[in-house]
Amino acid sequence: MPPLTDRYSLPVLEGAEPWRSLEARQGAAPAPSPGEFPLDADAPPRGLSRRVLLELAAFGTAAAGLTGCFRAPPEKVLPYSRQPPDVTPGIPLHYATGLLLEGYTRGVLVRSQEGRPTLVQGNPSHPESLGAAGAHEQASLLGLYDPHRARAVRHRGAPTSLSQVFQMVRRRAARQDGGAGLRLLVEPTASPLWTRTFERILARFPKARVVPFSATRTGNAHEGARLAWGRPLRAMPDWGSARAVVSLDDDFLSTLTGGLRAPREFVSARMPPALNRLWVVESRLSLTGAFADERLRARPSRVPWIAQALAAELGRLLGRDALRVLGREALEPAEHRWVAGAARDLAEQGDEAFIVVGESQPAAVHALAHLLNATLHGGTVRCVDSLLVPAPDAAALPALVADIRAGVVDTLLITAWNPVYRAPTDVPLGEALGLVEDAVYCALHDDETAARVSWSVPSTHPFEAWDDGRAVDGTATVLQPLIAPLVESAVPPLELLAAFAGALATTPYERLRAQWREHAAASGGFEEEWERWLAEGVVPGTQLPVQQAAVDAASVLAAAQSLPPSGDGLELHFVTDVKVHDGRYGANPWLQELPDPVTQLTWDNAVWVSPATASRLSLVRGDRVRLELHGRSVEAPVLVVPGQADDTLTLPLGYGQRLGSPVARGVGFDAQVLRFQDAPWWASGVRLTRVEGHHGFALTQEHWHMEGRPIALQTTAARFAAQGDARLPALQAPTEHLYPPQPVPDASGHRWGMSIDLHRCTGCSACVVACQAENNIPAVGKDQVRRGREMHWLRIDRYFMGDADNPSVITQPLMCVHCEYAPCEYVCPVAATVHSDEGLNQMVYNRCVGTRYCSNNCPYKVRRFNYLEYNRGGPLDRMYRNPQVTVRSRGVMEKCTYCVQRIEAARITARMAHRAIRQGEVRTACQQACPTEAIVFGDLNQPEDPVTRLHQDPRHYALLNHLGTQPRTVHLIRLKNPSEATG
Amino acid sequence: MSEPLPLAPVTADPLVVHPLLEERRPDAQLGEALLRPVLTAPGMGWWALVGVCAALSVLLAVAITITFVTGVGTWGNNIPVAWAFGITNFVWWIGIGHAGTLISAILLLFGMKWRNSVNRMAEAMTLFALVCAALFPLLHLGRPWKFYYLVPYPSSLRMWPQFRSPLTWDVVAITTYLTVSVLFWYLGLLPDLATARDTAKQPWRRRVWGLLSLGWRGSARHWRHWRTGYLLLAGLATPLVVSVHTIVSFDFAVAQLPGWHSTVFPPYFVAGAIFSGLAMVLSLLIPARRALHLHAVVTQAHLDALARLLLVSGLFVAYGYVQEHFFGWYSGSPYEMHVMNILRTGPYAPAFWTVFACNVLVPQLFWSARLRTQPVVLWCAALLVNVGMWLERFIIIVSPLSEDFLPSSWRHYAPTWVDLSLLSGTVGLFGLGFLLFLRFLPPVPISEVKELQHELEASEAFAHDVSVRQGGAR
Repeated sequence: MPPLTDRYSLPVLEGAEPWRSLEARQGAAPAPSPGEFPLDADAPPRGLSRRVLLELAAFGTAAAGLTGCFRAPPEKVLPYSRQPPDVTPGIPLHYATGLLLEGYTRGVLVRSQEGRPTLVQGNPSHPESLGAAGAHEQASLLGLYDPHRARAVRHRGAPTSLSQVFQMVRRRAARQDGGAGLRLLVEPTASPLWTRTFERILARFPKARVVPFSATRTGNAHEGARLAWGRPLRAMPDWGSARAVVSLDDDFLSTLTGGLRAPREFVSARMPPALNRLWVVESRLSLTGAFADERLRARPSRVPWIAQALAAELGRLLGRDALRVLGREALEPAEHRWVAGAARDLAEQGDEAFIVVGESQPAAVHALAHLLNATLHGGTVRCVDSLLVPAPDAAALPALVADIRAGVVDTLLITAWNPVYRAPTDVPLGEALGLVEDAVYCALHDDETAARVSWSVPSTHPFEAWDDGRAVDGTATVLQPLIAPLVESAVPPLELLAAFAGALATTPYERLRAQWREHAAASGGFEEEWERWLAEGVVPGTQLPVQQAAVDAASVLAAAQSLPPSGDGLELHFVTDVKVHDGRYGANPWLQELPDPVTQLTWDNAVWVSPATASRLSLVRGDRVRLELHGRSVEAPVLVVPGQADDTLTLPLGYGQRLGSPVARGVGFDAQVLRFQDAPWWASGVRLTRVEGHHGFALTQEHWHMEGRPIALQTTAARFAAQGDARLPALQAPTEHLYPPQPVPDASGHRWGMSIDLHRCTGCSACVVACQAENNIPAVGKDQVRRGREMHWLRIDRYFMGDADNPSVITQPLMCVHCEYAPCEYVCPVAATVHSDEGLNQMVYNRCVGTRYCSNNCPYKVRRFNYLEYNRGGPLDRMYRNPQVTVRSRGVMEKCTYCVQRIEAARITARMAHRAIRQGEVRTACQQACPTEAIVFGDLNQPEDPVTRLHQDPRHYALLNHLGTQPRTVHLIRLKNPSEATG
Repeated sequence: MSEPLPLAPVTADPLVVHPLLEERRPDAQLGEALLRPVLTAPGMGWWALVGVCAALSVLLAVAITITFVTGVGTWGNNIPVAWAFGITNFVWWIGIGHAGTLISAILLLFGMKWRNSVNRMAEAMTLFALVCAALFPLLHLGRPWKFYYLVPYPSSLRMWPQFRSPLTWDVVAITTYLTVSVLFWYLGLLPDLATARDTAKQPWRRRVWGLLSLGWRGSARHWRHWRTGYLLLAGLATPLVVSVHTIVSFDFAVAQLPGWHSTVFPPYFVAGAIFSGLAMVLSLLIPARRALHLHAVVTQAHLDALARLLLVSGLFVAYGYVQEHFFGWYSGSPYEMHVMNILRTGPYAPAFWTVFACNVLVPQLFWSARLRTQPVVLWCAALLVNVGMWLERFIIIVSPLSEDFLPSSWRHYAPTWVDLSLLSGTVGLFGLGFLLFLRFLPPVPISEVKELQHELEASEAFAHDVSVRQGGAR
């Protein structure tokens, strides 16, 4: 096999500029004094650095005819003649950068192995990550190496060159009509560079318009803030001090919609003995609802009325008569109990209680929540300025289509992801795009939008371009590229805009630096600062000041009173999918195969219906139905989900793509067909008819009931404090054995162990993807998942308890528990699974012949078997794999290793430094990713290690303890804090 | 002195209802009659059956090729049901093999004369069943090309198999069983191969059979050594009947899976093995008896004896079912009880109740002496028992795997066409082997039948003498 560099002309051998890695920074690299050397003097003198590559890439795009020349011809790649100081083959480097989700940045550290990004982790310095990383950030790695990325620049379907695109762009940018025909269709972003670019474009072309488009930010929160404060603020609840939280359909525990910081702080404020209380009202079962102490299910149109009733009740309790005008609709008994309990809790906790509202709720409900929070908090609400530019506005896209139809628009630059697919069904954007003479679309895939525009340009992946962004709290991050674009003609989307901003001559890198030079000007010493920002992944001092903003009660109440009454009959309810979001992650096999934490569904979406509604309509799982709304119809399969509100049909968005990546194409159905611009989140008047056929879902967990077995345990905090849990003693008791006891190492030895706190676990599934990325676990596809052959080493079991209509839900991460007396070990005929002297239950892949006896004898069924050759893949698939973990072939059993490669790496480091492995030095991938710190790994031989303390925690228990397996991974029982009034 | 009494009837013993040999013939004639299937050209029926079996064997070859090339993922197995059709077929075929050894070895040691006419066919069946069985442990491996890791050989890796695993014991048990079965069968064949050599017309047949008969000349010394050796091997094979299936049952009993982990498994499996083997013997013997006109040597007495054995072993099996469910309940373990419940009422209930009907109810027919000698009834019952025993293995293996400790991992199993091809393909291979055996080797042990005839004549003469003497005294 030729060396990697022969096959891919990557900057593999160039290494990195020293200031980009944390290691290098710690390793006392002498900082160049400012001004002594010319710019970039510290870059490697010869060859192509990543930076130069990108500069050349940009230059190449600008200079016609030069495209393609910036790649080193493969035959001329030479070995290191002098090794760059940073790069030691086999030793990974970590680079701080960030990823955008819904316009805001989350800081990540990307592990780079000889120039190839191989893992995305959270950046501990970043306030919105705190070291954790959600499933989407981690899975974005796969998007980089996606073999189905768009490769060709096209003009009306025919291949063309980048120079043609830029000629057109320059021609359009050079005109003097004030930009009357110019429109930009972008997603709202907090990026300073983008914001500045918009400003410059609008300054040069005052008649141009920047049109915001987002399928998931429909402007409700923004409008609600405007109602409450008269200006675009963003509430910043203090999660760390939360004693009582009421969520009105806000899935804040999902890492996708809630971020990483809120779950961590909320859960940390919930630890025994002083639990806070979470009240949730929602239409479908979400992770937040599953975590709630008191959950109320209500049809979507009912939620605003429950919010009003809550306001009225709170007004009564706090003596605010103004609020008592609300709540005119009668409540059902369950609703009434919930509202009364929540209001009392809020009133009692005062300024340590708050209400959060989901984006799907109308602006008036957002405003009402701000008003109630202000009432609770002494008149003001903790806020920061909203950074999103352009401000989310659902009316902007229809206006754009109207402009296009009026013939006003001749130039349209689209950087928003696939707006044709995501546009409301009554906004005919796709047809309109055909009318625009020069519509340019820059994206990662040749999707529905690319098929409609006149120019489609492949976009760079976020790991391939310079950019910047800001977190929700304002903290800025400079996003640095990790690798030269893998697609030759890829262009950073901002480049298309830059021409109009009058900045074509400089490179993106230079523009970015120029932007930030101004910021540094205050503190001086730009070069040092810049290097520090890149190394740390945050720009200090960019945090937004927290304001205490007073709420305009009159306008809020007026808006709340004008809310339409709740509807009757079946209601459609659209939700952002927890895996593919609005569809933008549909091309990502890791996320497609990630089981939905609630339904455990992979590679699909479905119409969620409640058990009661299903039996009323005589529907069962897999039945196909046709949904019709205002003349649009879609056929979809039904999934009966406990906890769903009755008469509510929940449709996850983001599936049923018709073009684009073959991974996403044809997966699920397109709920967008029924989504009208005046009803983006729910709609009544839907007609449901059964149609022929049955749909086979790929569910990773088919049985949802615990059968009364003590598996995922939960009790109430009050009961636990008073008398403990009756099931625990049997699950903590020592067990007897015929075999001799396992040898206990002396003080210098290690006994690795883990604990998983069910009380902290929200089920967000970040750990599942982390494990998949770290351990080279393949995605196997829908057919294999249906056959029960998914390969996830770490799975999140989800059980429903109690009433099927409104069950209690618990999630339980489970991977190999590394039994002291492992049932798998004694049945393997070839000794392919053996015990290490540190207590790891190890798989010897080379020795495994695949009898699968170990899996049969594993009571936890955490072993995974390569039934087929799942790791067959193209050259790109080989690039993202972790070189420290064996890629398993067909016929071999595999399972969680406790990230043994990380243990060994730590051992090597420690041994070279002549010291012991430090406490906390080994962190497993799942532990590292977990936003709520539910997973703790460590050395049970160290009495001070957190894991040792958790193993002695009164809440700990060994799963299936009666079998005598003595698992090294223990679980901790989850506590709930129901209100006395309702529970 | 009175007139000498007429020759006593053949069925002198009141307990023996049916004669073991329908007629008496001179040795040479008898030998020729028994060699006739081998020496005459086969009929259309034989060719048709060979065609069917060969086609199924080709299907088997295709399925094996696909399994090897693409992987064991072409089967329906999943996690948690990591063993399904493959191991079911393995246990079923191994069990079938047991009847041959039972008939040839154990009945020999017990001096059961009726075994002589049927033991050759039963042994041949054992061999082909073992060949079919031996395919599956190999096929079901994830990496079959590494199968030798299971064999204890002095490797440069200094790795031995892991001897605590029942699969390692399986390797030993099955190879021993196969070796002993082959030796036993071949040793029994020696005199007949010599007879065939002496009778054959074509030189090539004489040469082949001559080589195979290892220079047998039928001298008294040969016979003395042969009898000693045959008896010794019978003694060696007898414990294997018990041990092999005991060890096969350990694959399940040693695991701690509810529904598998049970001390009742070894006797239960052995009884099931003998039961299924007897059923297979009947399934083959009855058509062969009719097609090859063996009524004279395979008489109603044989059918009767086999039917009685079928009934007895069937009762053992029924007792096993009762015990299995009783212990499931008696254990008090919710996990055990759940597995037994899903057998009776869950997704595997149809299979379970079919098993109950075939293996428990059908053998009860043979309390009736009349039905025991009805070949058609016996044959149908035997086929039903075969089906029942296969299903029994299937539900024993698959249902505990499907629903074990953690409900989150529960999942059921559905076979693919490759699974079904492997099952039907091995049936074809088995049939093909048996048909070729009928064509190329004497299906009934000639020497032993001759010996039986002599023994019967001697005992009849003795009985005659006794009756004459008694008559004289009176």
